[in-house]
Amino acid sequence: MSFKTWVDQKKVKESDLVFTRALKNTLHLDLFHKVADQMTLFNPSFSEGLVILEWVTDLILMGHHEELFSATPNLESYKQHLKVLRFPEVTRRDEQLKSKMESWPWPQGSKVKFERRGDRAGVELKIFISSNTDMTKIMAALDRVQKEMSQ
Amino acid sequence: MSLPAFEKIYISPESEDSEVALRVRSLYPAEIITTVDEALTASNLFEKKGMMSADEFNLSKKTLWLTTFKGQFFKRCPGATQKKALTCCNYHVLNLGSQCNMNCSYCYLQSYLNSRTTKIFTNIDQALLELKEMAEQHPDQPFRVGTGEVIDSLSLDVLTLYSRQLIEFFNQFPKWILEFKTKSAQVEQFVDMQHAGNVVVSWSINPPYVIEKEEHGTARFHERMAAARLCRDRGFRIAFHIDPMIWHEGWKENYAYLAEQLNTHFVPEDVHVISLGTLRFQPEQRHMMRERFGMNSLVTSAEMFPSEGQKLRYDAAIRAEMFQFMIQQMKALNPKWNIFLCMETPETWIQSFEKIPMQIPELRSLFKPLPSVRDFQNETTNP
Repeated sequence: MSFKTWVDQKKVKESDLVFTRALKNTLHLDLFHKVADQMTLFNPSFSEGLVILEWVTDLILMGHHEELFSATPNLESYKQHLKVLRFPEVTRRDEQLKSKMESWPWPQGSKVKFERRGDRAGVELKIFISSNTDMTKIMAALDRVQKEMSQ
Repeated sequence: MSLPAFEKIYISPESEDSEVALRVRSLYPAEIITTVDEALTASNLFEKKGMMSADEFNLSKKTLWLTTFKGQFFKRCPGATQKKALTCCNYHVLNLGSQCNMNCSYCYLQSYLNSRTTKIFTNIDQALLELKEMAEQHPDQPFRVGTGEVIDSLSLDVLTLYSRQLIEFFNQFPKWILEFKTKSAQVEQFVDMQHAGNVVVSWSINPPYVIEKEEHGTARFHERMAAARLCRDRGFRIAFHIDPMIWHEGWKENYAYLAEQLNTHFVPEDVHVISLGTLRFQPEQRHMMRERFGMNSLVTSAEMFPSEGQKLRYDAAIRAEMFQFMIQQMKALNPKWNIFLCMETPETWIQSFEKIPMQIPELRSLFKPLPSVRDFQNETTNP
């Protein structure tokens, strides 16, 4: 599928692509269309596609060219590849925070998932409690986590 | 003192005889000045709906429109409208015009204004009447009134000389505080005036590297510092807004230099407050910034994320790190510096100070709730 077909199929309006106004020269516009053609092979949704295309625009203007043609097998990994290029500092910090948080002594049996939610990164914690004893154990474990956190 | 570089000036009929219009006519060549019928021409030309294009925004900085303002001049700071998300410091604003003749890459006016001109309201008498009515009702409340919300307080003062009228007016209400906020160095037009010790001249300041890269057309670092010293020497209170702090490679060295410079040239007793804020902007603004400044900018290339209240901000941990660093730098040089955070969440306050402002004795008076402008209007209309 070409970029033009994707635009037609997803009913993308000119105003949705407002970020491309910053691409002022032919070299940048040509590059954008080539990368956009590659992206549409993954058939992203309307909103996913626009996020990717805006990152691509930013990255072209920031001087990333060859790196935009990454041989990734699917949309998710391509998106991740672009994200690392566009948000290098926060990606690095998130990786560090993730391994640190995942190493903490969370309650046994709990599910810990690292997430970025807007301007904050942290963990989502799922715990199952069926008795007062469970509760006591969990509180003790969380107390140990808090001690780690405050260091 | 150089004149702001306007290429076209429009004057509405009701502003024709104002002091500002007379002054503008005396300063600029007649061929760039036109009188316009506001209702028929100016409003159609300048007051279109919706966000401006980048070209329209650029043009609005070169086009001056002298007109009158028909609405309410005196308002609370926009931070007060997001009280659930942000910690509010009781700042009030008096808007005597809109747009700015300088050109900072991060300027929030890019997503705020929809007038295709720089406006100066010539009916300052009306604004002062409005202010007088409120000040007479609450003469002992410490209202802080700033004129630099949607226009720089002083960069166009050479055309209006409003600073002089405002200082004179605030002499009558010594408990009220007038705050000029600027990135210019234009202070000579008022420093000779007698004042009641209630005038704060404040500078939005950043390290020289950030000023060079992002604050185009503004007074350079040493010029702002020199203007601040002049005001201090003439008995004015001064303040600094280190806002927006901008993250970049080497930010620590550059902000440490700024802290050291402030501490070299001033003592805490000279400085009313130092406020800190980090880069933030409305999401829709990023398109205009990208188009106007490209991506070779610390602002457009910044790693920003949606925050509570929808603005794009740095990662919360990075913000806290920047605030903590600057607070530590200043306090290590002198623990008496009076520092607060501008438009930040209670969570960030706690991460930075381990307290909310009402728990910090030297900041309590700034954050203590005041009667709202709306309450006041109710009081005056329904006694």
